[in-house]
Amino acid sequence: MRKKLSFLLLISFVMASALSAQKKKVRFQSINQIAMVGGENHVNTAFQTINEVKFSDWFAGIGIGIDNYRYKTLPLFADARWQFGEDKKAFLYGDLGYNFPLKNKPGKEVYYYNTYDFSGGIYTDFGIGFQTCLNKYSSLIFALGHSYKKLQNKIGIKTPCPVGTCPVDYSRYDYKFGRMILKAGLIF
Amino acid sequence: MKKFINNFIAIISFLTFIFCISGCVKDNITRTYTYSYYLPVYKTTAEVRANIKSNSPQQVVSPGKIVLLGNYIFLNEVDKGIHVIDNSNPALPHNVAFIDIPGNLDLALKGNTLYADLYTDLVTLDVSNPLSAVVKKYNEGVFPFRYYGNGFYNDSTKIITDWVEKDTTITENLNDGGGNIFPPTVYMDMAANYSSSGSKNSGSPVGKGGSMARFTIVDKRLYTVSNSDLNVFNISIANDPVYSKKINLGSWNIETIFPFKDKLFVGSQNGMFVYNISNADNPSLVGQFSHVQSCDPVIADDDYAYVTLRTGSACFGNTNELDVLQLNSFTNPTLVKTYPFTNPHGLSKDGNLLFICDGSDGLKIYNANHISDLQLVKQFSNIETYDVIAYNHIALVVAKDGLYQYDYSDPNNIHLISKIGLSKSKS
Repeated sequence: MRKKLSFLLLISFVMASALSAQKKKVRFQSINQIAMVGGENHVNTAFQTINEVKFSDWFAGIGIGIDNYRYKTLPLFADARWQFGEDKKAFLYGDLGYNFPLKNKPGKEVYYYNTYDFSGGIYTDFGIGFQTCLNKYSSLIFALGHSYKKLQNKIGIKTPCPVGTCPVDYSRYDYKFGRMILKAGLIF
Repeated sequence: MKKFINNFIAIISFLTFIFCISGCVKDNITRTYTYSYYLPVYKTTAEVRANIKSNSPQQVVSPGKIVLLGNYIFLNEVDKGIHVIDNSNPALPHNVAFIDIPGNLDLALKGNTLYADLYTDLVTLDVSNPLSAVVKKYNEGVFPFRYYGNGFYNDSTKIITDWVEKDTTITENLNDGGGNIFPPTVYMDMAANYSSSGSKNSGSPVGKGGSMARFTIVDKRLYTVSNSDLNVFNISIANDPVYSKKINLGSWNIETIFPFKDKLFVGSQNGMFVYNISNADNPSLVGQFSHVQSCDPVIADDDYAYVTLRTGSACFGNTNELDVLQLNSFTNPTLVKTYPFTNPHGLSKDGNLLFICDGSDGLKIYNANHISDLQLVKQFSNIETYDVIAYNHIALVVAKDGLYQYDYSDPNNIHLISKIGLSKSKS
């Protein structure tokens, strides 16, 4: 876990350093989005807030959200985006981070005789979008992209036994979800 | 024109992007599991029968049912046989012999006669000298419900005496076959397990069994329960049991049997059944109490039945409690009070003291003088307990790590007097 957080901080630091190295004026913005996440057979919602610094055509920052696709996770990620087009209304963006499982009860019996223990994994999101001004302080933002999240679940199943402590069979499930993500939100 | 071309390129690029990422939309789920399966080790019936006698004592590895008679404790070693423990000095019990009975889960004792299951057979032994047990009779095929899972059946010409464990790790792709799939069941004995108490017995003394028992003796009958049936054996001639009747209980998941006076209390995962055995060969259902699905050991005294309900293992459900039922009328036991527990297993009662094995919460001893207000007298934590027999001021407790004995002659000073630990070879 410490390694993963360090990795995120490092990315943020590198991006911030890259921006500050250009010695130009920096300003902050907050992007708050809701999203529809569509996978192979499931559609769920997601929420994100990204707070970042803007410099020229570039943005960089840290985002956090809730991803309800299949298993609820909390992605924490570094975000970078580049504006282009005539009015700089279009942009490309990329997110890289780690998603933390929210549903987790290691060692606890659930349902009949299972235990489960979720652990998180990599989270990515990249895509294209555009934004349009609402007023001087805020803009509407729309984006379409591909999002990937990985997580793992260790499940223990007790084998019925006559007496004593019953043996537990463990299975590890690796989930790799590639989804399309359609986002809409506000920039402040 | 230039703007049109730019817009056209933008739209084409956008559609290309969607096309590309749609190819990456996929749920990939893999499951990796390591499971143990067991290969049977066979011996011929003759070889097995030749070895059913008092052999050298063995370490207790996987303790099961327990029966107490006189100075001896007969402790089942699951699927292996029966430990004979000299308990003439409860502070210093001695493991003195081991009777090899493959497939053994249940046992009952009356006088000098031991009845035990050997997979599908009932074996009768003369244990007048427990150090020299002698087989008297085999009743073959009387427990046909003893089968093996995963399509694996016993070779009828041979008997399984041991299992060799094999570990296998498998990774499989479940690509959205949906949720979590249980690993394959290991080849194991699927028979439920779980023998006895204050019933009307005449003649030879009857061994006192735990509340998890599935064999019990009342007078001149041996009663056994399977998953769905009650079997009656006539043991008027102790060494010559005669299988006399099978009664379908009309319910599945029968777990335990407990005798009290002229009644049998049968515990199932869905309720408690009361059978009248005034006519010993024709037990008749006189009452029942239904409850949510859970494991259900039961004991009774003159006025009340005590039923523990627990979750876990094969019992399903999510209830962990003690139900106290009033028995004014056996035909309609009524719930008096429910007490929450952690994971209650076996229980026993002697006088006003109620002993409850509460799984990982240890052994709990209550003053049951006022049934609607059980008072905890003592709790022994740090042991994982399964079954208990409280008799003659000694509580014999089967736990995860061994066999414990507690002296409760002074309810204000209940204390551990001995422990037989398990072999460290148990995982």
